[in-house]
Amino acid sequence: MNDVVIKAENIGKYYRLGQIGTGMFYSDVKSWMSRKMGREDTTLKVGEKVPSGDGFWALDDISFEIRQGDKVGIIGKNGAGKSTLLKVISRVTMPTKGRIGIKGNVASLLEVGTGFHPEMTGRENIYLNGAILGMKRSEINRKIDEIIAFSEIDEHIDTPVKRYSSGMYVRLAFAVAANLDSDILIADEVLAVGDAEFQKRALGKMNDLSSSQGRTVLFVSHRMNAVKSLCDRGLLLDKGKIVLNDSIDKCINKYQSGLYDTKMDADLSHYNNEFFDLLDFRLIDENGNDLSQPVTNKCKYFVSIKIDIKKLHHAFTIGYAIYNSDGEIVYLSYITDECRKEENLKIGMNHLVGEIPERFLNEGEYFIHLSSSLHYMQWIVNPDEDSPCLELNIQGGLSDSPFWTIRRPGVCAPVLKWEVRDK
Amino acid sequence: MSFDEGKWDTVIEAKKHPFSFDLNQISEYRDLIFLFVKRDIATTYKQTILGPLWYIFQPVFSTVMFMIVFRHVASLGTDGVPPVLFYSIGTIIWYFFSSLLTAQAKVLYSNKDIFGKVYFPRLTVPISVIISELIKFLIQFLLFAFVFIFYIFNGYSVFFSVKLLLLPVMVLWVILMATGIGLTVSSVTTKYRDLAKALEYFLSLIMYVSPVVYPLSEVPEGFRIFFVLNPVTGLLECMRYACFGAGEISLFMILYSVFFTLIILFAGILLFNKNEKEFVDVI
Repeated sequence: MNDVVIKAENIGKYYRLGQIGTGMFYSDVKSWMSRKMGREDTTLKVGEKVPSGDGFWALDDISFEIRQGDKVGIIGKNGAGKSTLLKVISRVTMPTKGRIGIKGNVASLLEVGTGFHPEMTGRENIYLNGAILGMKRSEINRKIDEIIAFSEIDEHIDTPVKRYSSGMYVRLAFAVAANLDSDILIADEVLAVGDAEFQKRALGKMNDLSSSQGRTVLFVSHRMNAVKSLCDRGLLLDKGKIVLNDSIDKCINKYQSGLYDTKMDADLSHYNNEFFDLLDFRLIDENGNDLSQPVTNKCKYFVSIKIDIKKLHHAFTIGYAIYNSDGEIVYLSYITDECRKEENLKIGMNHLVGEIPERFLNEGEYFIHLSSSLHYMQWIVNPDEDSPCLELNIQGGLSDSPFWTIRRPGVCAPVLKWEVRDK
Repeated sequence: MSFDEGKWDTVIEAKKHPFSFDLNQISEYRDLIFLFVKRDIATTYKQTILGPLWYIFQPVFSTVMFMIVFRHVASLGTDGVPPVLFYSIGTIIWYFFSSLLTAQAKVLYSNKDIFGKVYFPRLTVPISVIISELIKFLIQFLLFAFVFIFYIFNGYSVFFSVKLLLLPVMVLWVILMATGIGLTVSSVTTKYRDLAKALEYFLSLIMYVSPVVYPLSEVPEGFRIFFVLNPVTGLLECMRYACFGAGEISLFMILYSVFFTLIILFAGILLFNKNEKEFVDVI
């Protein structure tokens, strides 16, 4: 059994919501004075008792151990506390309670290119960025050729980085980070930048880094494929708590099954808002029955939304966003897309059914989030945040052609029209 | 499970001692300090016509202007010191003081992006600010030294004494006072943004109520006590005393100014140390 290199004990991080204080000195003094003199605080709204200390525990009593050489993928929904946990371990922010012991030196990549100065050349920025990340000058001297080679910008290395394309900038920044020597590497979504080709290379480099030298890695990403290929252990977080601390496969399964379902049996009243109450949200087949999954790509299926509309608005729209398992949006669809009149929606019960095109999506897992907004004005239900979600699992039925029976690469797999023209 | 005290290289805890500075860590990061200095110096004058010549032009122009306005228009005395020397040392010191103070006051806010993403000993930034401002100052002081020597060769008799050895102490004094005030302001600025604006405005006013362009001896008796209460006064008068042997200094003035410097430095470092971790969540 390897040595424990990170040990977290009852870590908690509390964030206060809204502004801390009123942000204005005059009001703060007034509020402080009236509290001191035992009078009611004049800066508070009537009925409020204490200064709005409303907050939440971004991390709530988290304890875990990580052993040397572990590659830990930290997964969870947005707002589960993944990034906060990395920030606390990287010492960028302090925990509100608890303590963490760390053995060995830590390199943390919460962002690539931190501290890059646009006026300085690529070479100068390598030194600056490297030093910010904790490298010594002698260390950078030793590695500079390797860094430049990996970034593939050797001929522009003495040009100020403000003249770089964003791709070059990211490549250079990643090259510095990738050449850090450390016992523990902490990385937050660093692969979410650059083009696909670069991401593949970056992931490969991360793999090399972590497999060699028995280095310990903590990695946060929404891309389950990346996490799966890089990590062996998982830490599944939800609402600031550890749900599961196990192998990465178990964590990913739990993450995907626990949070997503074909129909929302759970209490939907949580999503009620001033415009509508959400009564039902599910996937149905042609006959209106619950969809039995997995489905083939050849059959018709629909998103069914039942809402009780309380207030009409000319900019109101509702629909869904469909994400693939990498967390990328495949497309968005709204009831207003077909230039429908809003009169179609009425106060009271509405049953909306949206078609998902057959033979359009590729084989795989998809997550369908409810999305509703006042167009260009405000979110009512933001699919990127807290939104009800359905899982769709498509397998087989890709085409009628004997040349295409198994999954091809690509986000979509439409069967499109071809014709053979004379001449 | 036990925490195995003493086993860890780093322990992250909710509370930290207000005076835990990780001094040995700062020396680990001396390359970073050096690179911050290099960045500050190298990038200030990129894409400017005069470039680093600004270091020279600034005190020269100011000295000429002050000579015209305060010597010839307002007819203020200079304690028997040649006006060129009097005004140039005044501007150089004041410029050093005010630009160091302004730079320190921005330390937390202007580095919030880096501080929010990477850990390194935060004191490296104020230290690098001191060094880059000191380099600018030394360039300008060298210019002053040349002019000084030129005057001496042309018959300006100044009695050299051990007083000149006080100069490095005086420079340290400027650094400590400006850094103390600057870091204090910097910590408060994370909460009240307008303080940085106010600072720039007040600094330009304070110059006129500090003996920068006139000696303390020119101030009417009745006002003098208010000038002495300005901690910068003691500093400037001592500086000129060290250079020219001229000026009006009293033990009270020096003790008061030194005392102020130590208090504000203490407060500044304490606040900075407290804020460097917390402000990331606030800003």
